[in-house]
Amino acid sequence: MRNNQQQTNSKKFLFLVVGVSIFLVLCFCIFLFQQRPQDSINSSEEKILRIYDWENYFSPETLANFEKETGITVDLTTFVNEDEVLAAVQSDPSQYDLVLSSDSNIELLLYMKLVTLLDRKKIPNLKNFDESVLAHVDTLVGEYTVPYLWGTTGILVNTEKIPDYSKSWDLLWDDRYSGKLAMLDDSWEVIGAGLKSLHYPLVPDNDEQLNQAWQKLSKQRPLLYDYVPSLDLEELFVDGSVWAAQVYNGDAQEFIAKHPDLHLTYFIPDEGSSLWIDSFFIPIAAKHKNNAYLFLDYLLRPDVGADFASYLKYATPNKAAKQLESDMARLEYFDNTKVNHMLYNKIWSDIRFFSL
Amino acid sequence: MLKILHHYWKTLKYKLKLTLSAKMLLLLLFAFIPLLLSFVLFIFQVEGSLKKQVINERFALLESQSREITRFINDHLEHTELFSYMYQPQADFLSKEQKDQTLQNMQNNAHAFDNVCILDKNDVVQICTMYKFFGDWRGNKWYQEAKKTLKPTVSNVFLTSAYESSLAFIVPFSRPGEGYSGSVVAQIPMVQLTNLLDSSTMSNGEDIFVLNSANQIIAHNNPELLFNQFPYIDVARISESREGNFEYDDQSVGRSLGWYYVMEDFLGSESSRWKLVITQPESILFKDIYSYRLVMIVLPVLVFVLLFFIAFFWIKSVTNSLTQLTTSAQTIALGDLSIPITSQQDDEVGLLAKSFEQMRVKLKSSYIDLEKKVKEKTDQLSTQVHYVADQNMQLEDTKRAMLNLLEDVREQEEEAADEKHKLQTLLDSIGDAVFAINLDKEIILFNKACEILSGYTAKEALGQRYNKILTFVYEHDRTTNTVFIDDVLKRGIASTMTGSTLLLTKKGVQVPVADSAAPIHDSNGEVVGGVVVFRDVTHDREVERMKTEFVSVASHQLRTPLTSIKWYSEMLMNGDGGKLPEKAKIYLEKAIASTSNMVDLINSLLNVSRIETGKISIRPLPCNLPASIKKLVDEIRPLIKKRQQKLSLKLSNLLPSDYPMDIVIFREIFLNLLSNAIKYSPEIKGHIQIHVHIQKNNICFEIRDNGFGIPKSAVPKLFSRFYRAYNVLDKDPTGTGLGLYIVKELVSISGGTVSCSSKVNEGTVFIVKLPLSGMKEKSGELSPASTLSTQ
Repeated sequence: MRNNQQQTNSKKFLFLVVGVSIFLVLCFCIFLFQQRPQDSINSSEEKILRIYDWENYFSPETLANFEKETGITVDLTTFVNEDEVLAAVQSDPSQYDLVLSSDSNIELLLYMKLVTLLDRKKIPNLKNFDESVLAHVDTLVGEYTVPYLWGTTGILVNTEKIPDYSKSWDLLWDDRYSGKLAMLDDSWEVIGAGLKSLHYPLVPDNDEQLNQAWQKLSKQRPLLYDYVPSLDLEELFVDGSVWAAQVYNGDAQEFIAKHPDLHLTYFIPDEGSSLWIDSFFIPIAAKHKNNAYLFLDYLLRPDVGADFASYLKYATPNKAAKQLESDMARLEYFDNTKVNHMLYNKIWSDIRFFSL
Repeated sequence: MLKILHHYWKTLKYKLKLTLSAKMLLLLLFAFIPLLLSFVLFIFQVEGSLKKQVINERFALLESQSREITRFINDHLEHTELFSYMYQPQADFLSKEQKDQTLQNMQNNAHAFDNVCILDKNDVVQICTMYKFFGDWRGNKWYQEAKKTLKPTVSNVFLTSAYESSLAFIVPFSRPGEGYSGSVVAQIPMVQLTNLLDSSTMSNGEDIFVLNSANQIIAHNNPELLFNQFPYIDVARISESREGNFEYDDQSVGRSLGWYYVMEDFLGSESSRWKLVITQPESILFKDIYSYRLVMIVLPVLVFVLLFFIAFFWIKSVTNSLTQLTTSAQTIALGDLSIPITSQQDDEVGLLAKSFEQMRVKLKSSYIDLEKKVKEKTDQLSTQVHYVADQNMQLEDTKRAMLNLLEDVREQEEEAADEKHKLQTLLDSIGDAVFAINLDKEIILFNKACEILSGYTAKEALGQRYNKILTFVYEHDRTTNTVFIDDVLKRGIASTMTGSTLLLTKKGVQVPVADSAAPIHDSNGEVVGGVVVFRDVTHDREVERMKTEFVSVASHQLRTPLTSIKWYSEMLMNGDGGKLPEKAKIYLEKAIASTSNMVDLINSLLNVSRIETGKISIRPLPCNLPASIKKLVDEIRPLIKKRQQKLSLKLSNLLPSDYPMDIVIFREIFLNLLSNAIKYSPEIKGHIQIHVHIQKNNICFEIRDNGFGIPKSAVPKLFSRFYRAYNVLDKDPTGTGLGLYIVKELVSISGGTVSCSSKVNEGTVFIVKLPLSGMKEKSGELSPASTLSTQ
């Protein structure tokens, strides 16, 4: 009887100890939970997305549909040459949320630690994208960038005014058409054309090649109408100010389709030319990164991709590999990280200053 | 409930059988623990408030550093504004000559800036000293802002290469009636700011970071961290409070605690919303408090332990007498009645003891008779034992005599050991490390300083071959250097090694040492070993390095205001501040001349410090050699004209037109020699000849004058710092004695040689030889400052 009493007593005591310790552990957990930082910074992001892009590089529906779907207002700022992108992102990496640029340029920005490493979980549609197509040329794809369009640089000619042209860069050095020739307003393309016209690689092996290109470009300077942004060329061809010009292939296709009466032709010079992939990246200090991810995921949807590629005459990376097969041997990618920048700057300011 | 507890207390009591003293001690413990705890709590509270005070003091450092940064930025912005007064073009189009002239001028005055550009109203770069930027200025937000507001603007910091960042100052200018007509953009490398911050602190383990608005590191003494995020903690936490701590991995200690203190937005301009963060290891920050903590904790613990022991002995004395009584009772019970039971105490225990004693006495008397009988028998036995003992005594005497003999021998040995001990003490008290070796190169002596420096103990070292223990290596190629010690043994002559030897210690650390070795001769004059003396010169080198750094910082600080004085004076001279009377102009001219001399001197000092700290860089680019030489000669022609001297230039036709050289370095070398030739040749009669030709694998620059010459005794010292030959001291009182030193250093860094031959009153010829393949490239942070103002 007494033994039994003792047993029940010790049981009660055990319950008491267990109860108190559970209570204490619970209190501690609640305390810890309150201490944990709240992961709600992202959800409070403003409904704004600031994009920095080439002029006329989206079909109007692409942006409008995105705004309608998500309720995010897109604030689009445009630039006319690649060098502006460098300076803009460098001078304030927080002013844009999503920026488009050529891959070689982005590589330079990455080297300056200004590019965000993408969080692939936030772009589920990356699975629609065939990364293997680009893997051998583009090491950043999927990691820092999402490729948008692929294109080349070549020459657009008015065959009515210049019927007997040869497919060579020398056409833009021909003094018979003095004042009627134009080059792009972009240091990489202009100096690149100078190098290619001398049969040098697009990424020069040494400063000597660059210096020779400089001399050649100085000779071209007096023959030029001006250095012109690609889209402005349309008007100049229409009013007859320019007969032959350096131009991006997508813009050229668009002008040809719009003005069949002008007898325009686009070609890639036999000496070779440049090939580029334009990709989106998120600057390191962007203020609306989540919205940028939403937009990238939206762009990668198959229906949206078809939409903008048919509006713009450029190729989406998935398709381009096939289209460009025949020209591939003559085309080269830029590599902005492997050039003597100081000399590039010097050449560009020298020829541009005298062209005014 | 109470019942249950009572029950448990009872069972506990049965189980734990405690002695009386244990119980009392337990009671004591229960009384002391709360006391001790409250004391420790009190200590922590005091410590907390002391820490707060220390941290508040650190904010003073933060403030002084932020003022330093603000001043740095304001100074350079003012500097850029001066550039804009001096160099803004008066028209949109400049002729090539005008451009070259302006560029030359800008290059001479660029000083700390690594790039200065003039942009026209169409945002095109017109003139630029280095073209060191990326992209198109049109895209730069701060340039656009300066253009819009027409106010001087400071850009954010950006990288110009992987380990180099820059800050740009943009000063727009406008011509009357035209509005915006261009900008002057000047870039300053951030390493200048880092040097400034480093030189003033770092003594207490502080680490200074400057962060931009995106929380990237924009200035830090480790360039590899540039533009990375702040390494220790999330910066969002930094912004919450102005100070705090974090954990980090210290390489030598492991996981340790550090403190940071922050100052935000101290510059007040939108482009540079910078944070200044200083971190410091906690062990250093609170060093004083922690040493104090030891006293604060150890003292009460000691007092506690002392009290505990006193109480322990007191309790023991009570329980002891009880135990004693018990033992006595037990002895009696066993039959031993001879030990009296005593007790000094008058208490209850004492009484108990006395009654025990009475009992013992009675028992004892009955035993005495029995003992008497036993004693008689024992006496008989003892006589027999005595006989044996006598025999033993005789043997003992013989043994003692033997021992005395041995004693004498030992005394002599002790005397010898004393001598050795004295010698050892003498060697140990010497500050320099000393060790001696015998002919087998085994260490036979190894003093205290040697132990400290090498990390080996004398025990480990003695008897070993010295090269197993002490490794001396050449500093330049890290190969083992045993020659100077082996020479001593082989040839028996003393030798010294200074300035180029490192000692590898036991822990693998390399310590720079200065050492000398000398032979030991025996009485016949034969070499029987060697003694090597060396000492740690780390501190000497540190002092040398600090001196050079001091010169560098001091000169930077001096140069900025001096340049401002010079430019403002020149602007006054040009009539920018209204027309000046003739007399004022004369005075002003003298002021400008003295300031120029001063700037030259400071630039020379700076060059010397850059050369000595190895910061100078050489970037060879292909140059047209004949054209470059002609340009430099043109630069100095005004001086020749002024002194009415003759100059002839002879250039070989074979000189390359694409010679890889750094034009800044070349200018420094060439103009220094040329201006020396001009200065130290008489007016009117002076004739300077320059002859440049190719000789084997070198380009040979000969600069010959018919001046005062250099005394024969002075020629060998000519290229050392601050040396000036006595016969020219009065010819040019402004000379610094640094020019030729700089020339020699620059030439040898470039991979060339310079030599000189001279005859007093007949003339001097300096010959510089540079390799035909071009100047050697050298990476560094800075180009030399221009020391020759040729106006």
